[in-house]
Amino acid sequence: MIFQASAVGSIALDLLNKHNHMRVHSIFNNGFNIVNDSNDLIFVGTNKNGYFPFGITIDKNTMHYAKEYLSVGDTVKNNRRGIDHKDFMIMLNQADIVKYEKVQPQPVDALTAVVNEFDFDKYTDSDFYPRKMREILDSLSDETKPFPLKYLVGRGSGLTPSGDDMITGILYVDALSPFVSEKHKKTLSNYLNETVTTIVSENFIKLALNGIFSSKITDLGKEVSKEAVEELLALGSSSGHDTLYGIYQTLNWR
Amino acid sequence: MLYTIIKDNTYQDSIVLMLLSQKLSAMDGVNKASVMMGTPANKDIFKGSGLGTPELETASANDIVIVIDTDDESKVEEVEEAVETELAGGGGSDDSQKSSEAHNWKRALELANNPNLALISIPGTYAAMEAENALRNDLHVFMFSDNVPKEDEVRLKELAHEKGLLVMGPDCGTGIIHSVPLAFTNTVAEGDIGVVGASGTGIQEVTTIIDRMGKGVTNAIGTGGRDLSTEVGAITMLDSIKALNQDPKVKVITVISKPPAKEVQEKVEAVLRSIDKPVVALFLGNKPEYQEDAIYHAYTLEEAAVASVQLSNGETVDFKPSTIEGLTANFEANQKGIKAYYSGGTLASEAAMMIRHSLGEEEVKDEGFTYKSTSHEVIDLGDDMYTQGKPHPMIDPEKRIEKLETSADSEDTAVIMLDNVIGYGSHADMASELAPTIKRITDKAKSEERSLVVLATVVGTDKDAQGYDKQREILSEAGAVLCDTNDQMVRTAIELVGGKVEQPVLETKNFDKGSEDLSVDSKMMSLISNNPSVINIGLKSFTEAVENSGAEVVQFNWRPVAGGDEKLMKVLQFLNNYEGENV
Repeated sequence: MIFQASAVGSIALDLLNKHNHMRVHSIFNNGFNIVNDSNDLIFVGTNKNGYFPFGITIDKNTMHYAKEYLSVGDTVKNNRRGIDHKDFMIMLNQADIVKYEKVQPQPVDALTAVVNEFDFDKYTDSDFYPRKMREILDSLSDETKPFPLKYLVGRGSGLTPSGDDMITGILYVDALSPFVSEKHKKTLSNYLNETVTTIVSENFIKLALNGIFSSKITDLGKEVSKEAVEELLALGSSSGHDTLYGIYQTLNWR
Repeated sequence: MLYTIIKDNTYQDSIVLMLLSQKLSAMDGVNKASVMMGTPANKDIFKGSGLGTPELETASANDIVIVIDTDDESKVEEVEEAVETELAGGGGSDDSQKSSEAHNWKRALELANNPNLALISIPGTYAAMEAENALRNDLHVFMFSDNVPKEDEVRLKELAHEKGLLVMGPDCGTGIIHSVPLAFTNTVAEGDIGVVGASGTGIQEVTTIIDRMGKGVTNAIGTGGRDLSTEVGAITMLDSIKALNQDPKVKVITVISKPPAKEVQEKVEAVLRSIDKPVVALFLGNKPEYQEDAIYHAYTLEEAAVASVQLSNGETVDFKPSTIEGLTANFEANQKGIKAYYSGGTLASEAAMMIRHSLGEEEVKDEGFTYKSTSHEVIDLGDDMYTQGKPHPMIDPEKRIEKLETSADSEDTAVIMLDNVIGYGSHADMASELAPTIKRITDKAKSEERSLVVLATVVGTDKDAQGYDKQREILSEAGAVLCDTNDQMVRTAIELVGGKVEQPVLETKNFDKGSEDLSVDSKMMSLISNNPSVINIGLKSFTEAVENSGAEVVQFNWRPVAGGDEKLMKVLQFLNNYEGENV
């Protein structure tokens, strides 16, 4: 079969150009992941969860049928035309290229006000209770304290464990208004190389360390509104909530 | 005692893992269970909750880890089974059948056992080329693909006719060949009624009603919606009628189509008048103007089905339309509207026709609507306009749910109509997808002391995997009023808003018996009298129906040659079929 992608992230495009072969890593209802030998990942899927810098966007119908042919471990060949699986192709010739820019520092008062309207009570009795989060944030800003993120990395269930989503949230606020010590960022980057969380999470956090986030997150800062927050909350089964909780704790810690 | 199960490199959304944890914990004999990715942080959680095991340490961050605490070792197997089923939704697939899959024509023809039918569902741009390859290999063609240019359709059907082959489609959604369901089709009992139709859900509605009335259909041949156009000239329909006529097992022939061009209708009727078997014809959209001895002219799909059954029983046709009795509603003065959201195009057309003929409101032409007037609207959500980049509404409930919600909130809505077409190709449980919304809107109307009637009809049989009765039950429990047929549903809706559908009373006209040539190629007789041997080119899911009904199928995982370059593909196609003279 031949399918068409509607959009491709610049990082995904870069990976396709550099790596001729990748393999199917995981398959979900809304998309699938392909990875190269160094675990760099491209998410091919619908825009239900927004656009990803390392994403290739296909429509729901394409995903419905592509799933019939996919197995974990299948090899895909890449070229400028697109992705070449043995049973189908996803062509990129009609896809918009989505460029990603680093999130730049900006005031966070308006965002704080909007985020504070939401309810985070469900975390009170969880592994991520508020006092714990504040301790982590205290240590993050102080390079003399021990690296505090081991507790969050890989903690929780799912494709992107809750703790990882919270880290993405923390790093987003850091991109808007920097506070995390460079030393801890470096430690996090090295720590991720030890296979301490899922490949998908690893890719998200590494990009976040470089100031790059998925569109549902960056939309928050572009035009601060309740709607943008609600869009983020709708993400995944709990990913959106977890990310927003990281943002909420960080904004209020300051 | 603790047991550990590790699923290497397996992923699932967190909701799936949480549900799985709950499910395992709730199992009899399991004291405690937890399912998580094997990250270092999660290993700490396992240990912290008393579920630490030595095996746990071997898991990596990209593995799913399940630890259960049970005193009964036999539970472990049960848990493993539950885990397998739950995780099956995602990755992993059965490799055992890969050996019977082909990537080119040569291999497909080698693997297949005397193939005689190609089922094509690749994108329209390439479908015509592969249909031609199929015909040149002496295969009949069933084209599910749409967006095939009309000139290609004419060319393919002429080539097929010349070779004694049949091209069903393009854009053919439904077909039953010797009781083998093709594409979006119901499982229907075998029987002595033969159906030919230019419309997908029209065939589904008629064949399922026939089945539910205790009779059967062995062959329901889809022609594609453009077969009765002037350019195509009903090539497939005429050949199909002739084949059904030659088949000694067929007692009644039923023909369904939209009203075709006059000269094409005359051509079809000339053939129908030449055959000796009883015929039922439905040109859906117009009121029939007369009856005749050789052909029973029906007004609706249900009437066509009932007439076919009665004729096959050797009875005189006596169709009595019905409505749901005892259904009353206390509508406000401004509540006049019937709003219908169909997944079946022909069912939408039937509703539009009946509303047009009975309620007399001025029709407003609007592209997104099968029918629209001040109060009423009928929408076919399977129309291209609504399916851009989305699965068909028979698979995806999203658009229907949206329409249900907005129309229920609209003050002028009195009655909402829905269809649920089940069978192969359709959603595994559409009723459960729609039920919560139906319940919400009917409850809301009740709490506001406002009358709102949701009517629903299920197109299917008790042999369909989704279960005809079960689907009806789910919709009914949610608050919908279930109708047996689309005809009954539309009549009921119209009566609820104060109208009535008049069944045409017709005089009998006499025509001379036709003298058309009724001979047909033996390849066509062989197609409808034996289980087909199928090469499936495209959507893999279509193989399931064929396999389940005991016919042979080879999957052809089609990929475009020349890297998908259309121009180059056409050149190659030309060279492959070039029959130049030897020098």
